[in-house]
Amino acid sequence: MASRSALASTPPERRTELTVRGIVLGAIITVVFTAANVYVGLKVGLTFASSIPAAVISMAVLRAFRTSTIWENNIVQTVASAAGTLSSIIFVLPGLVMIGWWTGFPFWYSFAICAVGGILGVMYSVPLRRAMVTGSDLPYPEGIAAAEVLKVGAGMAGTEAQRAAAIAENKLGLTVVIWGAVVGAVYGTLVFVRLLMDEVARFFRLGASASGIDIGLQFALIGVGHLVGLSVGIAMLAGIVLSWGILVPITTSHHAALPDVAAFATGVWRREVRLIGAGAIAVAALWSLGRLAGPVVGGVISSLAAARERREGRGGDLPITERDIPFNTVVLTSAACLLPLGALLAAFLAGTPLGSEVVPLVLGALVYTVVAGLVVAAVCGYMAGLIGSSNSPVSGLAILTVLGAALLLVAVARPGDPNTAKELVAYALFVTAVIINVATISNDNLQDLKTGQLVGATPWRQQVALIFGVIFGALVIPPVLNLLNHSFGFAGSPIHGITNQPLSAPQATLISALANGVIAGDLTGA
Amino acid sequence: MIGIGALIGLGIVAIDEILRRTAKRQFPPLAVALGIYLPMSVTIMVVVGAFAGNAYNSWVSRGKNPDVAVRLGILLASGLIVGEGLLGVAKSGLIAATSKEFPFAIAGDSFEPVATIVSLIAFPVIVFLLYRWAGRLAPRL
Repeated sequence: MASRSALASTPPERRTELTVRGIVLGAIITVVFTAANVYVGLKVGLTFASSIPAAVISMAVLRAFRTSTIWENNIVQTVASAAGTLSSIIFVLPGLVMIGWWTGFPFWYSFAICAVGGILGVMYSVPLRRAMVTGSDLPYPEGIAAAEVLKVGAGMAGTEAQRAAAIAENKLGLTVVIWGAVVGAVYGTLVFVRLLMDEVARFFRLGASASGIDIGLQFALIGVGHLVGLSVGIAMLAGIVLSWGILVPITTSHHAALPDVAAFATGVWRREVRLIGAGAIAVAALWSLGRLAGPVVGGVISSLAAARERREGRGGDLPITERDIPFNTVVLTSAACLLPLGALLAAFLAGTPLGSEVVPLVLGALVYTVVAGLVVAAVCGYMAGLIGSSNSPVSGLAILTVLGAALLLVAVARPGDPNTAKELVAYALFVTAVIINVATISNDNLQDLKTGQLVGATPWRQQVALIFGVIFGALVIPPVLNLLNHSFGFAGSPIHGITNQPLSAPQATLISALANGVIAGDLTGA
Repeated sequence: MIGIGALIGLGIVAIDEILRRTAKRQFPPLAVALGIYLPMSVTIMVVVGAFAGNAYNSWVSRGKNPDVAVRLGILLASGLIVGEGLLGVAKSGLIAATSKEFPFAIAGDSFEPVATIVSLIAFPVIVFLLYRWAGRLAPRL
């Protein structure tokens, strides 16, 4: 570990920062955390942030090398942070299976959606760094937390005794992560061989109505609850009481009771109360987005203006902690990303009834991706600073993006022909999936860059590291989604899994229903 | 139904706004909505986890090295998610490969009543022991 004096004296260009071993370690953590996040996110509707556990694992592992530095650990954290944000694609992509357009997740399409969207997200947020990280006083709660973990681990706090304590804490941290994972996995294995249960349910009648209680005994749920915190927990409890204490008893009383009370109560819940929940999710997601709209728009405009002023007065060589990926490279890479995206969109339309309109549809989608992508990158990036990645209302952005895409498609393509409605819904979901990745990776990039600023990292190296993270994540998402689709399936999807426990995928259900509502005029589907 | 849900959503949003202004507390509308939408088999234990994490944090904040202990709590929670998430993917692979829901079942339906009782006791005990273990690590540093 670099001591305080080494931090100051190493020539910045030659210091250990972006290393092969750092990227390999980051890749391993990314692949593992992305796979876990995709499964938990589809089941629970929430994904977990990967930066802090990645930083702790990295510091504990890289301690084996004498040359490792705080910046190298920051690079590992940056690569792996993609696992927490890129997995937001599960809020959109399963919609293509739910509407019956895909039966599985074709590797190259799914990979390219994730990779192109993610790389565009990095590129679009590079020019935002000076405005939103260096030249702003945004709080960045999670970016600062990650920097604290890195600084504690590097023993920058001063005395030898404090450094020794920091090293001991890192070892403990790794032990705790591993034991948590082992206990969760061992319990789950005992459930898999049917020696233990992961769900205990009792349903009962209350006069003409029915309700019940159904407890999942899964350690991941405890972990999710811990991370979301008490106010979210209390609010969720209110939702459970509202649905099973009030809405399910009321709706069941309007139906003729079935002999099997469990099937009766859960059936009514699934067909009716769930839709109430979907409506509430839409309003709540849009509201969370709307209440940030004022501060975000004002903040983006003023910080861009401030950055422009600073740039005009600047001269000479930049210090290493101010060097981004060069602007020309950003522009060229962004433009180059549009080629595979355009080809993909054209291939997506080929052979469908929309194939005759391929040129206007592809060009329209590319323009929408660039324009909406730049807007959501700025908005979502600012949110990382305001409230942190985990709390950013990505589902609200996804709803607006899919509504925008669907309305434009209706205006451009006029789906009078019911045969093309499904194609247009699929196309809208496809474009939305790309833009959501732009949004979440931009959010992630700025949060990582804040962490980097606090530990004195090199921006361009972090930006390159995040591109690696995006690619590793994009490689693992399609096969994991395929596996889950095949074995569990998604709730409301025409493809049934082998088990009778479909994954909820709440956001994807809602977003495909909204696209269908706008294009086919049918909100009840999906 | 979606319309009724939207109205309920507006009601929750109103409660949240009032609480934010008067009591400086939050009642996140999206969390309420997820509580209606997601299966109880998911949400109840997330609520329990939220209370458990809060109890852990207030317990360790009275002891030595509270900052370290709170960080270890976050790492424990992350570990629990990663372990189960990876197992979920592995299970998914085995289920897909064998086309059976429980390809390696040792016990059958008749064992379920016993398994239920054991699980209902073992699960909370393990959660308690894990948190107690994690909380006692930090003061020893």
